[in-house]
Amino acid sequence: MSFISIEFVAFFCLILVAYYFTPPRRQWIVLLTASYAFYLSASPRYLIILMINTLSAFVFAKIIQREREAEKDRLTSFEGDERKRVKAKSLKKRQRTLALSLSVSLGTLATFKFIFPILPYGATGILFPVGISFYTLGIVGYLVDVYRGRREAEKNIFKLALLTSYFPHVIQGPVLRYSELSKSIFSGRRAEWDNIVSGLLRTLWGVFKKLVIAETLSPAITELSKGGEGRGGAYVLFLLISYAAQIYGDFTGGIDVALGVSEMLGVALPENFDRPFSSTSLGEYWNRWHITLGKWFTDYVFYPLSLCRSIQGLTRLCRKHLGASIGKRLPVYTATLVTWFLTGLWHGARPHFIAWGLVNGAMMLISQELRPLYKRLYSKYPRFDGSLAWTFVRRVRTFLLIGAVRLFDVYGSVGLTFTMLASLFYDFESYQSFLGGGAFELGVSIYEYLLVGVAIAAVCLVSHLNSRSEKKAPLRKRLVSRPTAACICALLLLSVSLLFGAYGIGYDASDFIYGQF
Amino acid sequence: MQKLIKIFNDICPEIDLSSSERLVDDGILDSLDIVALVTEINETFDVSVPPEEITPENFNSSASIMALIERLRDN
Repeated sequence: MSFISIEFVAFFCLILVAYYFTPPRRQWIVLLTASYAFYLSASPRYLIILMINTLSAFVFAKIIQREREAEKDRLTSFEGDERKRVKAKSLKKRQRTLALSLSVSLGTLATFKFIFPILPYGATGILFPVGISFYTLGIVGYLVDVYRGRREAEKNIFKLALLTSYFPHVIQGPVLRYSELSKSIFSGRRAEWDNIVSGLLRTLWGVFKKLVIAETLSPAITELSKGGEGRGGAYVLFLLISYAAQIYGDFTGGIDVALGVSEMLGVALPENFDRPFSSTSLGEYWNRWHITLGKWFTDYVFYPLSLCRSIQGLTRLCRKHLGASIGKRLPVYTATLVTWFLTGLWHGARPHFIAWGLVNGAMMLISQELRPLYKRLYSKYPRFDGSLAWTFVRRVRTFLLIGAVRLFDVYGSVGLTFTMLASLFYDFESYQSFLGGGAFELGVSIYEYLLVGVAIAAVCLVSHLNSRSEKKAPLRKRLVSRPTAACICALLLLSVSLLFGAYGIGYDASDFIYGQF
Repeated sequence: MQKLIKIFNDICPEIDLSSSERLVDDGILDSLDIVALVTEINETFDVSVPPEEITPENFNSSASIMALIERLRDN
């Protein structure tokens, strides 16, 4: 069952009614039932994998917590060196348990993501369990938080089961921190007009972006992603721009549906995007795009790796023999490249995903190294810094750099991506062909391009209105107090999506790009 | 505090420490800056900042960073 389907609408209406007619203390059980029913419809064979992962996380977290509590009791009887010895022994035990628990979760993910695809005959019939990449990160974060003492182990296995399987997030995120989700998902609530209307508007906004922007462009992108003769130069630039629009519409649209549906249930999920194309630097972009994934890798990979004893020891060695400048760069460089390598690997084990990760990591480091240069530039030409024109240049530069790296994903091949990017600078015939109407020979008509243009303008307008008053609530929440306006907006979004959205034969609106991860 | 200010000036010279009490929350200090800072802090103050202490609460201002350093020294 996909988010954009009649079946899901019927399913969700049923859940909404059942949820709010259930006593508040028991509402979470409705969510658990709904989540497992949703998972059963999406990935029936692999429900057992989700259950095993959940059970494993539950048991190991309890063992880690029990050992921490036992340590506290034991320490009261010791002092000095003996106390240190007891602490060290307990820490080692918890570390071993954590390592074992992570190997189960990450091992399961690795098996489906990396091992089965390379088995003889492609391990026929073995598909990729829906949501495994997302719920594995949630489980790993949960286990590490229990190990660090930042949260208690969940006492009720069914509550943990809800955290791992919560249906709005399972297809394509956001990546959840169970500590944060626990604060709202288990507390019962009455139906609130504000949440239902605001959530519905957000859901319809997501559907609009997915069907009108992302799906309309898909024939052109499918055609251009083949690369090769006659698809270089100007067509690469066009692909860069149109894929940015498609993935924005698809991914943010899907997240809007997830967050909107959850908002209607009164459960707040974390935001995953914050006007990413307004970014003026790479660092800023990755704080605005797929925010929850970036934060997860920063907290659970980047910081632990850069501050681990081995790296810090190597840093001291480098500082002593190679100087302070290299010494202080070592942990940052190493951790950055490893983190981005793993981020690429999380998307998939294929070379183009790893290239995508490493190139992004390298660009971040280059950007970091250029900061003193920019500082000198701004001190010499102060009018540059913050000027409208320079801000525009920085935004376009960031957009093009990110878009160029994203082409690894589109072409699906490292070699082809570099070949096609190089053609930007020598395939001058393509510019002539493109300007002669080449864009209209890609399966998308001029009217459809205009439609996408108008839709993007609408998205920019809404984004601008939301950013102008950041202290106020988003536009959709302000519409809640104006029922007529809210109703008109909802009907408009629904009509436009149904009348002008791309679905039916030749399209697959049920598939979200990030659902494949 | 003087030592900490010197570390900031070496690593993030463009940041004016006095201008914000929300260095992390406002995105003034990013993750790369934080790791570089922590590496220098560990070396200068002979402490070991664990990853779980890298939170906005601990790194939003020079005062909160200094408080973290003092706490780690006491422990």
